[in-house]
Amino acid sequence: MAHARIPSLSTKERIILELLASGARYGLQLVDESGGQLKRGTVYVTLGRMEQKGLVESHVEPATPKSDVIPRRMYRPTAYGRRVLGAWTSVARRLALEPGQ
Amino acid sequence: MKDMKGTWLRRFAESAFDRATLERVILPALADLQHEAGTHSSRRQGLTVPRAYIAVWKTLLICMVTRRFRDPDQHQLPTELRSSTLMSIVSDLRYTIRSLKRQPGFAATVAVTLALGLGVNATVLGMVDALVLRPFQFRDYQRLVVVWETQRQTGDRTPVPPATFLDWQKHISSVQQLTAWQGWTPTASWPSEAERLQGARVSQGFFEILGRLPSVGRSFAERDHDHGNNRSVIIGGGLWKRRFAENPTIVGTEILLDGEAYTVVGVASAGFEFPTGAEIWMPLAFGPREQLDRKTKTLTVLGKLNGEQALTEAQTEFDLISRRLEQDHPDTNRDRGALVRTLSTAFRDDGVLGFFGVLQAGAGLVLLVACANLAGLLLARASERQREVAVRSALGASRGRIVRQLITETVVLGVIASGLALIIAQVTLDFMRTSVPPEIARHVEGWNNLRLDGRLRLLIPMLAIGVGLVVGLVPALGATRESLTSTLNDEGAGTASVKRHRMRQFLVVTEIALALGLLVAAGLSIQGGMRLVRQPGGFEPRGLLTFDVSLPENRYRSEHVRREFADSFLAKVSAIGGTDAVALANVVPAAGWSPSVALDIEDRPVPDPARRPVAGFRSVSAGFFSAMEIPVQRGRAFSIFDREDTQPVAIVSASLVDRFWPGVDPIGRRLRLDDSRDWLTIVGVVGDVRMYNWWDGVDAAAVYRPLRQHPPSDVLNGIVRTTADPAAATAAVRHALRSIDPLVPVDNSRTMTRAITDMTFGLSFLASLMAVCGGIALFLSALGIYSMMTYVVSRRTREFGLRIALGASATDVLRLTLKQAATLTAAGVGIGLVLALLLGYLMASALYGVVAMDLWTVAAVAAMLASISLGAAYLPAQRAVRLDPAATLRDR
Repeated sequence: MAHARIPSLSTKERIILELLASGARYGLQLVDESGGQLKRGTVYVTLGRMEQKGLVESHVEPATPKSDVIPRRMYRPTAYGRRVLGAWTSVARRLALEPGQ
Repeated sequence: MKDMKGTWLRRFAESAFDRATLERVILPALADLQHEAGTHSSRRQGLTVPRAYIAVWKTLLICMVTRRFRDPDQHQLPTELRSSTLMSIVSDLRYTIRSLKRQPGFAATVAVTLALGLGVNATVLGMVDALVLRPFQFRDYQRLVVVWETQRQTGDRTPVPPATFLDWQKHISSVQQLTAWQGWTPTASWPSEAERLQGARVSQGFFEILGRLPSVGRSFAERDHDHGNNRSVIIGGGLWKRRFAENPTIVGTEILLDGEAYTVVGVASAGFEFPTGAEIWMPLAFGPREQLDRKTKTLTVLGKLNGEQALTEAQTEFDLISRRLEQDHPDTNRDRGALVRTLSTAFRDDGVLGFFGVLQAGAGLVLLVACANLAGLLLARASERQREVAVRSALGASRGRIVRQLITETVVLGVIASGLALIIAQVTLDFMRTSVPPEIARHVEGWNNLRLDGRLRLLIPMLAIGVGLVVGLVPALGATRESLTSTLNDEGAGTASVKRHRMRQFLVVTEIALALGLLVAAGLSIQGGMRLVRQPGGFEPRGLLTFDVSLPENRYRSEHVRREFADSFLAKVSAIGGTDAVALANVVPAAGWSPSVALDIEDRPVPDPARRPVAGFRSVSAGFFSAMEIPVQRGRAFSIFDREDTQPVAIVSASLVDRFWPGVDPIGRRLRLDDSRDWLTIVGVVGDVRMYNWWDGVDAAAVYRPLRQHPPSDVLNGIVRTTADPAAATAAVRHALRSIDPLVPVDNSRTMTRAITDMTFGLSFLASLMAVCGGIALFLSALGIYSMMTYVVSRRTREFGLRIALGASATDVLRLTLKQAATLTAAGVGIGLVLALLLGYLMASALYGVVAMDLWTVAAVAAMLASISLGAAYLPAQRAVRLDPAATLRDR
């Protein structure tokens, strides 16, 4: 019997999806809001990988009047990303044992 | 992409990475960096722009490692970008990574070789940093100084009397704060037992000057230092945990110290044990008499220099004040000066520099062996790549460009090796920190700080890159020097090839010589340690129990009380079943210290005070020599009739007799100790005894006095010889002592054998580390010889094939190959012997005669190294003789 492939979700990816659930953010903002769980040196690589996996999508902010400033890239979760996070959270809840059990 | 101009980081990224990586990963990072740089001061105070740059670099590195490079065929780069230095560096890096991936064995060998050399050095540097350079981790520790009083004539430094300290405190201006402490070893009475604690009486500002205020409760206030009212204490974290289960409401609790109640006002901050090993502190208070006391030297003075005030300026000011005090108080302060030292150097043991000097020399030699090995490997690789270099040169690459490419390779390998080296050093330092017993580690200042700090994390990669540049440069220049035509036509058999071959031979000889030197040094350390532990100490350590008996100073002030206590103790302990003999002394072997006295010999001119002969001083009870089994060679031992009211007598050791009365019977002759006016009559001569202070060497010359005539002040060393296991007698000794005085604790109880092992821990530790260094050097040199011989054999395959085809036997070829290895080994061993003799001499002088040059060690090491070297050459030689001559000739 063929099994559907379960999408993998690393801890960092989960944290990013949770942070993005409340609205689009850019990389540094995610680092700031993660309370030290995300690192500045790796967040962009993780976001790039998540984009490849279809978990997040991004758009570039409108260019600023200063032409030499690179526009920021904003990220938000895709519908698929939301579904994966929802599934992961629900599984995690089911597996978590109540204290004393 | 037109609007993407700006920083060179961006330029680099554009030239190096594919479009997707650039747009999806790197530009978002750069955009955030730009925004941060623009708004940093107003909005984001927690992060700094340099850290943001590091984050972008990290992102770039991750992309490089994950091969997100630009495909050169996909995008046509602007010409100026293609020819830019940046682009060529990126191209070199790409080429290096590809080329190393093709030869993972070579890359791994180079990286591991260098990592071992650097790892050993990082470990030793970590130790030097923690134990020698920064043993005290206090705030502004560079500005902390210790001040002693000195005797101008002799240069001896001593503690400071209270009145002098108060004068210094009043007049000094180059030192911000001046505080003092004196040793204090109170006996605490806990519900079940008494315990001797190590502590200090400290003057006001002690905790403040060190920047370590108590973590619970408060520091000492001015009122705590009032004379007669100083009954408050601060306890250390260890004591708080051990006796009070870290009770947070400890403040206000009363504890009994030396039979008197003291109130706990605070708990010292975690890990604070200053002065070394202290775990309880009380306020130092000076009474009216003490404030005028210029004779009782008990204080160690600690100060903090004003801002940038130099040490020499402080020294000058202390000198001036000392001169003034000398004029004001000529009767007490004549010839007294002051000595200012930084806290880091003030308490350094004499043997420490020699110890670390030997260790650092060993580590340095390992790195040299690794470098020689590395150079050999790179030379072999350069020969193999000669054609490749020639082709690149023919296609228009300049010599500089090719050299840079070759060096990039060693630098990249150096960076990888430095990562491995840091891991090796981290693991080793963590292991050292956690594996040494706490009772030993507690007394080694800085031991608990053994770890890799940020400076080393920076230094080692820089060292690795430096080594990569230096070691990589010679083969790179050599590889590019040979003419293009000769290389392409002649397959590299020209002059340069001969030069390279000679260079390789030189490197192998160097490796063997360095390894031999290092192994001899390791052998001498091991032998020194073993000799110290195993050679006869002049007494029988087996069956002996040793322990400290601490007499509370407020109740055992008079000599009479101390004599009474000693008599009762000897009588009670002698009555314990299974006890053969019992004795008390001021010091016993392996106790960790060795008091000494200056001597005057009767009928000999009194020399200059600075040149008075010095000998060890022991005050021992009757029965000491029989309990220790120290032979009485002439005269008699002390008896119970040697009392305070009988003739003052002494017994001397055989070494002392050899020094002052060679060939003469010393019995009946007289000597005088220190400043005493009493002449002591020598009544006996005993055998020499080792004290096991490895940093002092053998200190056998000693004078013994009867305990009743010279009772020690507060701490006595007890010894009990038992018929059964000596450790089992501890409980009975404690019980006997409790029946005499429950407030007198027995501490540090252990067998004499264990005490000797503990005492020689430093030397055993050095021996182990040197053995590790020697082992690594041996491994690396064997690897070097093996790779060199493999390479030589591979280059001579055709010649061997021809020889075998023309009738040479396998043995002939084997002999030919091994002969070459034997010649190199002999040269290496010859040079190594000179190096070994030099190192042995240095070690012997650094470790004060504990380590001595030993020809057997040298011979054994040379023989071992020669066998390993020949063994490493035998394997490729054997492969050569198995070659099929026809196939070999066809191949070429």
